[in-house]
Amino acid sequence: MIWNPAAISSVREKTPEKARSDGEIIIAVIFILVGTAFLAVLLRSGWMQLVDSEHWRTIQSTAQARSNWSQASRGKIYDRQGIVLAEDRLSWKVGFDPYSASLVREERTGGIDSISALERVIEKTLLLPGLQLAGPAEEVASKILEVASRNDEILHFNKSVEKRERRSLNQYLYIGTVKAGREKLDFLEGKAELHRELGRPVIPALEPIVTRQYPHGDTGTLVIGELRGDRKIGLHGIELEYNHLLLERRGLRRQQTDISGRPLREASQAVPRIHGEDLHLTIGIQEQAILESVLADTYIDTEARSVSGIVMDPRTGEILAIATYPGLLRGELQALYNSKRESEAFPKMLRWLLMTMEPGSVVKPFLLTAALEAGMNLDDPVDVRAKSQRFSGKSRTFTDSHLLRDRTVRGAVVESSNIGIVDIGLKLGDKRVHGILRKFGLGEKTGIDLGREETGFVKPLDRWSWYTLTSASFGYEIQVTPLQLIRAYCAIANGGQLIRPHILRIDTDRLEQIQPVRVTDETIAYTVRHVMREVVLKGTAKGVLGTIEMAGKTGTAKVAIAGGYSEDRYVSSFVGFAPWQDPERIAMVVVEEPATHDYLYYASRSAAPAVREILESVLHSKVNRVQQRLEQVLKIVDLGAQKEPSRVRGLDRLPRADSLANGPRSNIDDQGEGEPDRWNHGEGN
Amino acid sequence: MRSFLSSAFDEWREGWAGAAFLLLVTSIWLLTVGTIFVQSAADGPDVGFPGPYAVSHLQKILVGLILMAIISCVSPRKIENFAALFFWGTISVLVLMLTWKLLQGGVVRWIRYGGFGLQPSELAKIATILFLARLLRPAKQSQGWQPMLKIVAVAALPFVLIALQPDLGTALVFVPTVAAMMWVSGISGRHFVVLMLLGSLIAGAAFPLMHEYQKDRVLAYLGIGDISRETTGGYQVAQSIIAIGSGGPTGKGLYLGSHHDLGYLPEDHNDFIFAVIGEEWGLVGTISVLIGFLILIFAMLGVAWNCRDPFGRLVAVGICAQIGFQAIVNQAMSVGLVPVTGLPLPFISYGGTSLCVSLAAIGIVIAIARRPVEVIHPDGLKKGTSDVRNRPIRSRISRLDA
Repeated sequence: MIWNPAAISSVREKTPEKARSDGEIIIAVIFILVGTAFLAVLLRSGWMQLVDSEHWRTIQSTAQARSNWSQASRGKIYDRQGIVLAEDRLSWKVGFDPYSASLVREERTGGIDSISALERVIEKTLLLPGLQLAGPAEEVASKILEVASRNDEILHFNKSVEKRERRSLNQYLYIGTVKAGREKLDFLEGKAELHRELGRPVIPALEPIVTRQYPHGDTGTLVIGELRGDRKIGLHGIELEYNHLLLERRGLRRQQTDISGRPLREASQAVPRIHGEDLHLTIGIQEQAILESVLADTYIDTEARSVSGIVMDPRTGEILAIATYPGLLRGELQALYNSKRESEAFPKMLRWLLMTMEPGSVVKPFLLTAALEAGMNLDDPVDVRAKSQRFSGKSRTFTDSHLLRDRTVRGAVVESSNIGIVDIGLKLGDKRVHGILRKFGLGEKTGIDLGREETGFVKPLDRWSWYTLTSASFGYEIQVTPLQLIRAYCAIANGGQLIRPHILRIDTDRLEQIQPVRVTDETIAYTVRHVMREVVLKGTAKGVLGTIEMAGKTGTAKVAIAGGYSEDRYVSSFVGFAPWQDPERIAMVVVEEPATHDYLYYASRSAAPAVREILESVLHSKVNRVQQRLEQVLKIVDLGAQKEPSRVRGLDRLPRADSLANGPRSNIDDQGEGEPDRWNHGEGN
Repeated sequence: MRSFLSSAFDEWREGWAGAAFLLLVTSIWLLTVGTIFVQSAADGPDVGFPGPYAVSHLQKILVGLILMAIISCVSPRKIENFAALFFWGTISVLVLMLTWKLLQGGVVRWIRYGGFGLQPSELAKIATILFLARLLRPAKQSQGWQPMLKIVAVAALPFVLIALQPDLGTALVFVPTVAAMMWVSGISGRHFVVLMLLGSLIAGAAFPLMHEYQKDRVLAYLGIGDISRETTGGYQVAQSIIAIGSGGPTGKGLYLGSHHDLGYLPEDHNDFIFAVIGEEWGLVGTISVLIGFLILIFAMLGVAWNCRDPFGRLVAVGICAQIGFQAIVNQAMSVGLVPVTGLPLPFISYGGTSLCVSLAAIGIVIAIARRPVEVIHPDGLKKGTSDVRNRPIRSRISRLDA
């Protein structure tokens, strides 16, 4: 009878005792009901507030905080002047809704062809200002149409696809990016107008993305390298080699915000972000551009397979410019990789480190150094009797392209006589020749801070034979990288110090400083430079005498093939530095397999003019920068006084402009009869 | 003349003794807490007390207190006579609103005129209690099925009209109220059980007719729905629990509760004001509010118990059930014990009509408490009150003592 508390009103029908007990039950029930309900609330809130309070406080602070990634930026890459070579920039991703309009073709009034509503929308979208499309316009348009029609098929095939699912199929297609700033504003304006016109949105809100920008385009691609699409690692060059320094680590930021996400106080970095380190290169983008354009010209003129060039500061070992033409273009490696043709990329990488060659005549100055160290004089006679002769009763015949006129030690180098240098080599003996080659760092790694390099090979002394000695004297039977050669020449240019070529600036970056090694005497180095100056003045490279005091050495080597040496494949190289007394810049160009007609394979016809042009431009550009500043100052001073800005004298002597105006290398009148080394090799081997 | 005035005053004053006084004090305590937290939740510390919300709240309290004072002096008999008119008037307003909704569409819960808004569903609660009490009063006659159905029909009418607004939360308050009144009125147990079963059946059958968000809320509470859907109210409850839990034993201090301040707690000055109290005053605050309502409920039950007049008792029980149900459901919702319903916390939540009507209801209970013995005139007169028997119980006792 608990549930029937009618006792109160029916009190008259029952005995007073019965009524009272019923009433008590009612009171008990009511009290229990109400009490239980309140107790439940009390226990629940008491438990939460007394026992679980800490837990809920933690939950609250989590609930009131927004965590988001704090983006860090990858380190910038600067050139020697502080010009940015690579940096992260914010841009905006643009999407497109491929299901925004009908695919049904409608007849154009008066026209023959029909066009669907979607195609018209695409047409208008792709023309929006500021939009950088992800590919060619036709490709993007056809991709959108393809996706749209594929979906259309699905929907037609499967009639039961509900409206809600249809909507969920709405995926935006990535069509391109918009740069931040002015371009984005223009784009947004155009987008808003398009949406107004169509009456519905087709482009969703822009999403920010960070992209790696290379302001100088393809210039220096091989050195700077390139970042992979996912931004995790570089594909080659500095971006790969110094990825561990450049790499950024994004952090996690926590911030107490109100419900709309408005921050209340300073964000705390739950996980601190780490920006990538900036790198300062020794590369000068101006020098790099000069080098690359000269190499391109040389490549065309000599019809070579590949042309490589380098510009260095011989005093410090800083590499100002380094290039191979044809090299990888931006995005090319990724494209090759995507189409599984990565092997094609190898010949387009930096040949400086990766190629080994027999250097040929360019080793002659080192032999000269050894001779001078051994006490020979420049005017000592050498045993040259004919254009072709044998030594020590051996059957091997050595050949020169012409009979040596100045039959002295000096002459053997200046006119690049194989017979003469072999005579010197034989006089020096294998120990000294081997010693000088090793001392100048041939056949060992240079220690350049730009990735993997080849070691090359110089036979150990105990395996040297008479043939090795005679071959090595004019640069055969040894394998070196071009980088080892230029490093050795740096030692001659800077007065005998073997430096380490490097690409990171030592003063600003964490490159370990290496003390240069003295490999020869300063006076001897000076003498060798003097002889090399004579090479340019009256020797094998006399055709390339330019406006600068350049010294240099030519070299033309045959390419080794199975069973001997190729008759029509050469590697022509030239090392030059200027001014010869105290060189500021040293440059080297290696032309691989130039055309054999018109003596184009002669180093004096291919590599030497390129080096002269590079050195001229590089050394003059230094002057020119000063002159340009001067001109600016004068312009300001003369403003108003003169109508025409004053032309500073010397500006019109821009070497590049000159050579371009007169046609490439038009000032070479002398064909350089002495070069190249015409020799007969392999008879004795 | 003077002695007449003084005796009238004595009578008036003595009527306020006991339960009536307790009701008044508890109400004022709850109103005070409400005002403090409306200020804290809606106005914040930057606005000095009273802020705009607090001022508006205080105005409504004033109106409510005046209403309460007036009603508490009215004889229950007059209230009883007025009940039918009041009920049918409210019903016709609800019907008019529903017609308006059919013509205009949308949700119609308010009548707005100028800056003043009125929620007729709140009025309907009180009107239904009064009218039902009047119908149930001759308990002996309500034993058959026919009067029973009549009563059920009367109770169902406002329920359906309000549920169609749609305002299921307010409509649901009718269920315990009517059940309690019927139980106390002394209908037969068989009838009661049958009615309860019938009601549950109808509720189950009506479930598919409910709005999507209402279904979601119920399903989410039962643990079988998709909690991630916004309409479940799961978010609100979660935030409310976080706020209460983070309060700790003594709370963070007035104005220092961050959860509502930063906007994470929705309806902070309204349906979820209990969470604000829990966060800022901690367990102390929640217990003080809980005890306030407990006293209020037991005081009203005491009034009902003490009342010798069936009408008064039924009205007191109805009002007690209504206010108690709202209070418990709101608090239980705030701590996640029941699904989300849009029921405000009586006396505390910011909300004009509800507040005024609750105070008026307390006024009715006080009026009943002051005249616990009022029966139909022994002379068989239908109207009028007996001079002797209509005296307040204490004064009569004191007179006997003397």
